[in-house]
Parts: sequence; C-alpha cells; structure tokens
Amino acid sequence: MPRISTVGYSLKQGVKNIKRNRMFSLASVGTMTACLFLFGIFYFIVANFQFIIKNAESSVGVTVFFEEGITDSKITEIGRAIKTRVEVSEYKYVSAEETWENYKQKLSEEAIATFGDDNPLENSAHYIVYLNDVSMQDALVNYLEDLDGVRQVNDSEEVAGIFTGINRVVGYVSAALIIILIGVAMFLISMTVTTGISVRKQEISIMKLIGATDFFIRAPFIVEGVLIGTIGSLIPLGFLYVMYHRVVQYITDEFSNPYQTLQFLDVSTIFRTLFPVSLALGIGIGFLGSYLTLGKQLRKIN
Amino acid sequence: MNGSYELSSDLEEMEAPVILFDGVSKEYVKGIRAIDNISFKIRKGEFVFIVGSSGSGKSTLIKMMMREIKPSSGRVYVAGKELSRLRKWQISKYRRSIGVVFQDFRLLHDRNVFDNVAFAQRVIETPTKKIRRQTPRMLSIVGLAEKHKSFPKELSGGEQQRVALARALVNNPSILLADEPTGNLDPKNSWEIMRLLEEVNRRGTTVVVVTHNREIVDVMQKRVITMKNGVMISDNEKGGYIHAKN
Ligand SMILES: Nc1ncnc2c1ncn2[C@@H]1O[C@H](COP(=O)(O)OP(=O)(O)OP(=O)(O)O)[C@@H](O)[C@H]1O
Ligand SMILES: [Mg+2]
Repeated sequence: MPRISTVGYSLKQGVKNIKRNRMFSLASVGTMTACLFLFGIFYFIVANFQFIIKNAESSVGVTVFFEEGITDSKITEIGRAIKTRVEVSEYKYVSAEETWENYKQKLSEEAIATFGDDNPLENSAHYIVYLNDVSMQDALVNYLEDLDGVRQVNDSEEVAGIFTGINRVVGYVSAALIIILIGVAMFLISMTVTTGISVRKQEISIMKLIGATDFFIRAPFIVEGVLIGTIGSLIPLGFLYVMYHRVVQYITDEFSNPYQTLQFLDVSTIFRTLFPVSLALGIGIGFLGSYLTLGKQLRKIN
Repeated sequence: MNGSYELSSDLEEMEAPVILFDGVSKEYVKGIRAIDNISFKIRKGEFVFIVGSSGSGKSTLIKMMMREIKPSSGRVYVAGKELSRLRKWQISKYRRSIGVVFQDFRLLHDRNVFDNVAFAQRVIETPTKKIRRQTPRMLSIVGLAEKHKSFPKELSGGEQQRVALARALVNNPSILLADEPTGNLDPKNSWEIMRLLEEVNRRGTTVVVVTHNREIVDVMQKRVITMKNGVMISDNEKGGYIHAKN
C-alpha cells in the first residue's frame, strides 16, 4: 500500500504533467470529449428507439378513423367486426371530445384559449385496436380498411420499421466513429504521456538512481491519463445532460399529434446507465493509454 | 576451541567486504573490454579513490556498483548480495542503501534546493513530517541552510554539488559513490566537497570517489586504485596519485 503522502505527491505531479503538457492534454481531452459525446448521442437514439418500439408493440396498436357523419350504430357495427378478429387482444373507443382533452394536456393555456369552446378535432373519434401479435398487423389493417364506414387506418409498424432501419444505420455509423475516436484518443494520450516522459527524462533517471519503485515512477503518468479520461467524459456528459432535455422537449412539441404521443425515456433513466458507462470508458481509455505507453517509454531511460 | 572459532568468525564478519569485484569484465561492444578481469575488495568504512586516465573504465566500475549496468562476466557483490541477481524491485531497494554523486550534479532545475533534497526522500516514500525535519538538518550539514529557497541555476557549481551531496546523504546510505564530484569545481570548492566526504566517511559511511584531481589524492593519503585501459594497475593502501605511463 502506498503512503498517503505518496498518493498526494502522485496526484500533484499528475496535475503538473497535464499543465506542463497543455497542448497534448487539451487535444486528448478534446478527442475524448468528442468520442464520448458521440457515444452519448448514439446511446440516446438506440435506447429511445428500443423504448419506443417496445411501447409500440405493447400499447400502440392500430387506429381506426371513421367517415364523416357516421352514425353511432355504424360505429358499434365496426366495433363488432373488430372483435371477431383473433389477433385483436383489446379495442377501445375514443370519442372526439376525449381526443381533444388528451391533446389539450400537451398544449399551453394560450394555445387552448385560441380555440375557445370549439373542438378542433371534431372528426377524430376512433377505435384503438391492440394486437396480441404485431406480425398480424398487416392482415388486420387490410381487413379494417375494407370495412364500411372506415375512413383511414393508421398502423404503427410502418413507422417502427423505418425507425428500426434508421436505428441500425445510426448504430453502425456511430460504432465506427466511436472506434476510430477511441483509437485517436488512445493515441493522443499515449503521445501526451510520451512527451511527458521525455520532458521528465532527467527526473525519472534520477528517481531510478535514488531507488524509486516502478509504481512511484508510473503513478503520476497514470494519474495524468486517468484525469484526462475523467475530464474528457465529464464534459460530454454535462453537454449531453443539458442537450437531452432540450431535444426531447423540442421533438415532443414539434412532432406530437393527438393520436400518437412520442414517449421518450426520461433523463434520469438514461443517465443511470450512460453516466457510469461513459465515465468507465473515459477512465479506461485514459488508464490504458498511459499504462501501455509507460512500459515502452520507461524502459528507454536508465 | 569453540571460543576461538567464534572469535575468528566474528573477525571475518568485521572484515567482510561491503563491495567485492570478482573477476569482473565488461564489454559494451562485443570483443572490446572496457573493464578486463578486475578483482578487489572494499571494506566497510573505507575511503577509496579510483584514478586513471580518461576512458580507463572508472565510471564503468561505479555504474556496476550502482547496478546501472551488469558485468559481462565475473561477479559484483555489495553487502553480500550479487547485484546481477537482483530482481527489479530489489534493485530499487538496493539503491536506497547507496548514495550517488556525479560530476554534472544532476539536480532538478525546476525545483529549489529544499525540494531537490526533499525529492530524494519523497521517492523512497519518507513521511512528509520526517522530510520537513531531515531536510533542513542535511542542508545545514553541507552549509546551505540559508539557500534552501534558491534554484540550482542561482547557485555556484560548488553549491550545486553540495546540494547533490545533501540529496545523496539525506537517506543515510551506508555507501556513497561519487563519480568525479569535483570535476567541474575550482580548487577551493573541490576541497570543501572533499572535506564533506571525509566527514561523511568518519561517521561510518563507505566512500568511493572517482577523481582526476592529483593534488587531492596526494594530500588525503587514502587508498588509491589506479585503472589503465580497463585493467587495474595498482591498489595502494595509503598512497598518492600514480602516473600511468602509456
Ligand atoms: N555506453 C557505452 N557504450 C559503448 N562504450 C562505452 C560506453 N560507456 C563507456 N564506454 C567505453 O568504455 C570505456 C571506459 O569508459 P568509462 O566511462 O568507464 O571511462 P572513465 O574512466 O570513466 O573515463 P573518464 O575519465 O573520461 O570519465 C571507454 O573506452 C568508453 O568509450
Ligand atoms: Mg567517467
């Protein structure tokens, strides 16, 4: 076990290394930041798509709209027709008033006030049909579209399919970028440590002469790498935290409609995973980058 | 019978060499011997000069004693341990028991006098409290108490060497190795350093000094090992500087 004073000394020397080596340290932190920022965005997208798709499968079914001026008995008849289908697990009637009430919750007071007592969604009464097997959705939609009095059938799979495709592309591109950036970050940290060692060559050789242990000689450089990794992961995490709020808010405002609410994971759920994973990645890259370089560089010094 | 046996073994113990070179050769380049089959003993508490012309192998001997390099053949023992056999962690432990001083001082230029001496203790993980106590004491021994805040570049060569000496001695080494400690100093400063080394030796530390300074060697009348082209040409118990004729 190292002494407290040694730990203190190593920390101090590590910070000193970073300051002395400002250009490389900044470049390393910058690359690390970019890398983990991308990782964060990648994680946001993947996690949310998975969440949305899961939601879609379990809760969002098929929405059935009626022709204008349809009678109540006709609506009941359509309901009965839906009920006969085996793939339907549940269906629910939502009146135009309910639809409007639901949507109101997402609007500001002023926005609602502009409509007065009118229901701007008066043609929006519909059935929501939940399936017990999403793969049967196409067949069901075909069946429902042919029913008398049905104006439009919205299914969610189309959307989900596009999402899954985008998701995959985003995944591949991000993974490739992240791997490249991890490589660059490791390289830069390695360069930082290499310069640090060459600057301190004399000091290290004196340390060796006096009888410093390997641990004592390495510790400041490990501290340097780990600090760069920590800073390089905390900065993007901070950015991502602030950004996530804003983007979710924006997407919800812009793209929500009364029939389909976009549900996103909340910040705390996302960060419960993203925070430790990013931090571990940053520290891991920093540690490995300096550790691997040290062995090679220190052997050159007598 | 039994008693006399123990007595002689005690004597042997006392006489046991701290440094022992046993048929040591060193080839930096294959086939060229920088050191050629050297054997000698240095006993505890001795003061030994190593002299000889440039390139005769003096620094090579010191480097082998420090375990900076290994002999190509033969063995070097210090305090009964064969240095070639030390493992990495044992080397750092071993070096803590010796002090080293060089011609070019090898101070850290970004640190003041106090921190240079403190550094040596930091390296071997001396508690901070002890460092605060030991450093001023060591600096006053070498006569630099006043200058503890100065940086190396603000000091004369003699003062810098005294800082280096304080650094080498602060951890109480049992052996002090000095490779031309006065090589860059004027006569007055050279004598000051030599007096300090003599004082250290008087307190029980074994001292090995490589030097070109003939006057000092002649006046001090210590043991002198003379090297020439990698061969030891003389080893005088109490002597002066021998001129090796080419
Ligand atoms: N690292 C090395 N590689 C190759 N040859 C070396 C090396 N170090 C020393 N030598 C050679 O070994 C021989 C002895 O060198 P050494 O440094 O021991 O001499 P020295 O007696 O200390 O000389 P000086 O008085 O000039 O310091 C010299 O011929 C030198 O050229
Ligand atoms: Mg030499």
